[in-house]
Amino acid sequence: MENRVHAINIADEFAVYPGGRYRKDGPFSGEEFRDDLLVPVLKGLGKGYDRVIVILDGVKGFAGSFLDEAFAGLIRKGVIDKAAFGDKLLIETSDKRLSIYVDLVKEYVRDAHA
Amino acid sequence: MKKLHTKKKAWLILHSRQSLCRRVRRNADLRIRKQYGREVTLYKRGNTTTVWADRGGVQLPQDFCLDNNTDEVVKAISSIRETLFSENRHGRRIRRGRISKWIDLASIRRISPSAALVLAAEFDRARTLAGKGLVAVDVHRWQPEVRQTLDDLGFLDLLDVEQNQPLIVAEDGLRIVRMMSGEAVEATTAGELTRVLEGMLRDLGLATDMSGSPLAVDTAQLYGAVIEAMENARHHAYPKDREWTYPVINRWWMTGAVDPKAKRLTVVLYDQGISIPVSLPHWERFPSVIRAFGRFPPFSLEKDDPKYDDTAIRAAMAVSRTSTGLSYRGKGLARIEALINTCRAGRLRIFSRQGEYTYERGGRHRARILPVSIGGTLIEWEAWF
Repeated sequence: MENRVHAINIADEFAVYPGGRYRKDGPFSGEEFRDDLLVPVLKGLGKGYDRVIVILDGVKGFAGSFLDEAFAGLIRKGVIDKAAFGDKLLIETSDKRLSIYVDLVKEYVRDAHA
Repeated sequence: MKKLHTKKKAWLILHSRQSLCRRVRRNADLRIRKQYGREVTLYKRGNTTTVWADRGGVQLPQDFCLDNNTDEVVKAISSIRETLFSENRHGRRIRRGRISKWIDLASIRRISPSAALVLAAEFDRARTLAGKGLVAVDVHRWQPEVRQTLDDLGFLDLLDVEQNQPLIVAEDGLRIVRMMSGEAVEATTAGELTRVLEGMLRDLGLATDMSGSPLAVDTAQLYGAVIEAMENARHHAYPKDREWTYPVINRWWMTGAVDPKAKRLTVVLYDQGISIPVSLPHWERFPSVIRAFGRFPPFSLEKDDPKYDDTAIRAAMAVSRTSTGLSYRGKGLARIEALINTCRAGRLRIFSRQGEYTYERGGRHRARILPVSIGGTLIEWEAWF
């Protein structure tokens, strides 16, 4: 049976210009994206969809701190485990310029500790 | 002897008093002329006033560029800071028709975006703290190109100078983005900077090459590096409970520029905070910094000694670059540097207190000591196209 997918497009649903790490440092932070958008969607896994895909297309660029807090932060906060990353949660882009960030997220997730 | 008429006597007394007054005034004028040396024009909200100016005004180097006249420019900036924050500033003396502490920008023949930003940031801080009281001196004597750059940057607005005369400057002259400033990590401001720079490059036909690849810099990566630099300033530059030599306003300043003649794109972010060498001992990775020096750590890193600022920045960059298997924190400096490796040709320079760190793509990491502090941290990315 084919997996049902919930897609989150950062540019459409969050910000074209993502910010830094923490909410207290300014708008559109990684913490804000994780807690307000990503975590509620991940909590719905198994209830109508089996996978979540985060689409980077349309975003101006990213600071490493945003990506670390948004994605590796999920591991540190115990929202999902490393094994589920890449299986239940995927990061995708069709924009060649943004593909470097897909690799960066993988690196930060690999280095994260629960 | 003929007796003087009372009326004549009164007239003679009055006349001699008036003549004495004139002589006293003339002598006072001569004294002021001798002490102050020259007349200058002050500009304020479209009005001009002529006053006597002290010979001791701060003279700035003709080449006000941080790339080829670094030492002289940081010394001049230090003098500017001292003048702006000295007790005997413009205000009181101007009312008496003279100024004793002033800065002569007319001597500048060439100005770089980074030097212009630091200059503007110093004036912005002084204006913010003083409320008002800063005036521009002899704007009509400023070099047209320098005046245009400072006007585009927003410097003339800080001094309430109205630019009402069109300037004749070269078409291929420096194009600089209006100065941006903030306290937080402002994503939309970083986005605006990259958008304006992209527009400038597009106008010059320099945005992309035939294959569509960016000629100067990938603006997605630039955007990320600028956010990291803002975050660095926000987290480390202005700790609470710190005594400051000069008062701070907890801000960062930023600009970008395209120089078609030099085929160079510059982005620069400056803060007036404690600097990397001073914040380094408070890093959670400071033990790694010490370990990076092997058996001979420069113990002064812990003693707030500017003599080792070059070593301190180098160490901070090296530790940030080689951090693996740890959380992301501390990797910000490495990401700031990594932008240079995505350019075809480029250079990163970090001035922090009295240290200057340089990394050129494909080259070595170099660091040296400056004659005086730059008064915070300046991060400058340059990409050549």
